[in-house]
Amino acid sequence: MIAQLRTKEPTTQAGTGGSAVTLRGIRKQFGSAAAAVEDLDLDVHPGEFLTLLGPSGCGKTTTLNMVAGFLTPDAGRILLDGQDVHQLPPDRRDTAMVFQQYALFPHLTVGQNVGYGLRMRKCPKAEIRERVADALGRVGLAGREDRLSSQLSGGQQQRVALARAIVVRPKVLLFDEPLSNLDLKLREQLRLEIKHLQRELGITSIFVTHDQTEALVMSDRIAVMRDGRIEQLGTPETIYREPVSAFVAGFVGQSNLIPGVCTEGGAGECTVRLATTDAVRAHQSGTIAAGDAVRVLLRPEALRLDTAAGGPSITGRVIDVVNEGNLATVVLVITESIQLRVSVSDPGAHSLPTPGDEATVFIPPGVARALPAD
Amino acid sequence: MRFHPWLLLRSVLLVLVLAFVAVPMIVVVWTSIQPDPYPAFPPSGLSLTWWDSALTREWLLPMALSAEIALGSALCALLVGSAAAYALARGPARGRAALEGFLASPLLLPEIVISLSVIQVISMLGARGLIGPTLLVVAHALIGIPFVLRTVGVSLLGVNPLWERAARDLGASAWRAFATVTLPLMRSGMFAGALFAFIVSFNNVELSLFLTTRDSNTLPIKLLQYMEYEYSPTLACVAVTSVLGICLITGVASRFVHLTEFIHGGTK
Amino acid sequence: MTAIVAPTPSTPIPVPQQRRSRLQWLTLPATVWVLAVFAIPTAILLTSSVLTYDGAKVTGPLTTANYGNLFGDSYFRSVLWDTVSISFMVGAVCTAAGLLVAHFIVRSGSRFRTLVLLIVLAPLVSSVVVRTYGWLVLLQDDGLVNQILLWTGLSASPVAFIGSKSAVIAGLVHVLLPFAVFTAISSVQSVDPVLERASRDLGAGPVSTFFRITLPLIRPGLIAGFMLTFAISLGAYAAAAILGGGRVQTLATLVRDRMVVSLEWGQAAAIAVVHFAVGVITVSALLLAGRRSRKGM
Repeated sequence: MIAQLRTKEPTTQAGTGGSAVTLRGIRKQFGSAAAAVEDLDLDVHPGEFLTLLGPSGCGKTTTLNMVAGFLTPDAGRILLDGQDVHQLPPDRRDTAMVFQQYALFPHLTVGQNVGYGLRMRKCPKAEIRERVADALGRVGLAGREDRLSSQLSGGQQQRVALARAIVVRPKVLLFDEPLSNLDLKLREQLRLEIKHLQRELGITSIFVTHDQTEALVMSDRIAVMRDGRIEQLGTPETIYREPVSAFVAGFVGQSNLIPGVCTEGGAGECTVRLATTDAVRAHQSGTIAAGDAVRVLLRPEALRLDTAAGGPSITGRVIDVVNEGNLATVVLVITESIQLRVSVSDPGAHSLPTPGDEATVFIPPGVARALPAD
Repeated sequence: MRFHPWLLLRSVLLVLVLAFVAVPMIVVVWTSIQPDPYPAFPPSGLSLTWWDSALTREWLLPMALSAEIALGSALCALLVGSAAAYALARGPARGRAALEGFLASPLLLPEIVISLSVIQVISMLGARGLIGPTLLVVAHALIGIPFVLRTVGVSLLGVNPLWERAARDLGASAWRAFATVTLPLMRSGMFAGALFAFIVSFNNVELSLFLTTRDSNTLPIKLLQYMEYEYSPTLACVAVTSVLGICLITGVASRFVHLTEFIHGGTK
Repeated sequence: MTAIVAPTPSTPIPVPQQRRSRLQWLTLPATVWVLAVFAIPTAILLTSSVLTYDGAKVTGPLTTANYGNLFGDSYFRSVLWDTVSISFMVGAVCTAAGLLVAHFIVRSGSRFRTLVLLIVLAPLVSSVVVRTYGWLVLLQDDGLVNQILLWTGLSASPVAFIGSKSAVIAGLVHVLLPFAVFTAISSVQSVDPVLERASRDLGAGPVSTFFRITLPLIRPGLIAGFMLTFAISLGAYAAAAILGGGRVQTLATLVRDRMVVSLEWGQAAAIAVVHFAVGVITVSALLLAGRRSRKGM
């Protein structure tokens, strides 16, 4: 899966008609609580699929609602194609949202739901019928115009909600955790359908989720948010391989974070003395000087148990081996407070240690990354 | 909120509706503290003259009687309604809605019809001697019961029957388990229900219409009789007194019980 | 009052079988009370309306004379019509005003919400008589409204409000508005705000959203609210008696007249039955509307 991640930032696709969304200095506070969104700057490229990823309360949904117009920022500006829209009510902005709860109007048929936005835009009836049929066809629900939403399954309802949003050809598509209410299989299926649809239509899309797999699979770029700010913005590959902080590293993908101290700084790399008393050469995120406390990121799938790997090693005692068939996770205790997880793919071909054994974990060169300890 | 012309219209209409609701009440209070028989516009000043004839035996007796009857009917409704609410909450779901509906049905008919049917039965039985405060207590309790049912029912929603079972398990008798575990939690619902029943009884007009006599006249009925044939600002003073009394009781009650949760019937 | 009448919302919590059946005895006092004071007397009233009366006593066998006298009397028919038309107006005005207030309270997010609710509920601590008295003072020939009219020159002579149907309607709307607001609040609360948000998002302004999305979804609740205020105002006595000034007669005032003044209890019973019938029809329609709205959700 990692190999499929986008490595390059997408360039503007000429002729796709996508719009740019710009947020500058956005701030939003509710009552006397801490600010939900603080000094947010973001540029969404035309035609791009950008995900706002983060835990609950990080401000991603608040930001989305501000772009849609349901909330007014306390400070800052929101620009759509260079035009300041933050004073416009939601019905006057050219955005369309796909809601987590589908929000289909229960008293209208599927066709009436999908055509609602077009009716608001005063489209002629014949054109509405045509575009509705086209949109429903695109989401795989052709011919269902006369059904009521209560007669559809969850996945079908979400498809109708999607059709309703794309049929109006908005400048920006907004997704508010639309797949959270669906079961796993459906989520995985719809994920890809949404991605392909967006690619086909070229509509700029902002997608909000707390599910990192969704973000990694669907996005051109990901903005990882925390406490109202963007912690890191980059392609899925960049976020995964070069996280700038322990938070990002811990949020996206499996991780081992070992505390240590930098003993020797340098350009791009530094030497870290781990709390396990081993020394390791690590890439660094941000500027780390000698003496700084760091956390070293070691991705479980990058660590090796066989001696052929070479490189610095850490020894410990195996306490658990979880074999899921195509993947096995070996958990080792290094010290009282430090555990290591190692992922072994295709475990049948290797010999796995058993709980209670002593085992040595090798850190291949280029795998370790030093992150500022926060 | 962004400015929108319709918002302005809605605000104007809302203010008109609120004025419609508030003005008659303000007028009653105003009438009781001004000097003229018919409140003048522009207002001619303050005066408490009309209060002399209001705070006399003629009015204080019906007021006291209404309060007694209200207290009596509230207590009856409380006992009978709480017991029923407890049984309904712990009973089978089948038939529960029907029984609840039946016990609340007196609210669905015009009170005047109920008054009529009660007096007719009394007259058929030749039991005219029964007419009096006791009969009023019995009749008012009828419309107090649904309120108690509702509020106590809401309280009981938060009481898990397993708690009583645990108390039994630890050695408490059935009654002690109920009294020490469930009853304290029902208290706020009982209190609110009794309060509503009290207010409904004290202010009741139509149910009492055919059930009062000259000797046992309730305050609202006496006010009504006066209003039909006479007019006097004294009535305003009496009205203000009774309203103040109710407000006082409600105010004191709201210190002990959070009343708003019962107003929406537990759906809030 | 529907908030009182509708079943308490909950899922029944399991309780041992034999304890359950012993507990049912606790419902007995309440049931007996309602039976003895309400159900049985009402049943007797219904049946007695087809018995012969002499004044206040039942003297004879089955007869339709009471109803015959009633419906044959053009006066009764006009009173019936007046009552229904007044109640209809009251229902309509209460429903509209109640919706306005409820929508504000539930959706506006304004800091005045609680205040508005309190103002609307405040009159409930007072008796119907007290509230109607306020209207009496306002609407009398020498009352405040007329004084203002004369003072500003909008009218040359006092307008006779008391004794007009409008006065009765005003008084009844004032009394029944809190109930209308209650039922409307439940209705509006049942509409998920995300639906309104979706409508705005797709390009509908607040007014369009209200008429296309909110209103159709609360319609069953509104109908129920209308039926409720209609039914209650059919039987309202105080407002009609006081503000009607003797010139506006409703079923309620007519019943009292036959009971206490002309002592024709047979006719009173028949009127009460007509009253009861209209009440039952309205309640059934109310329940049907309620069931339909629950299905539609």
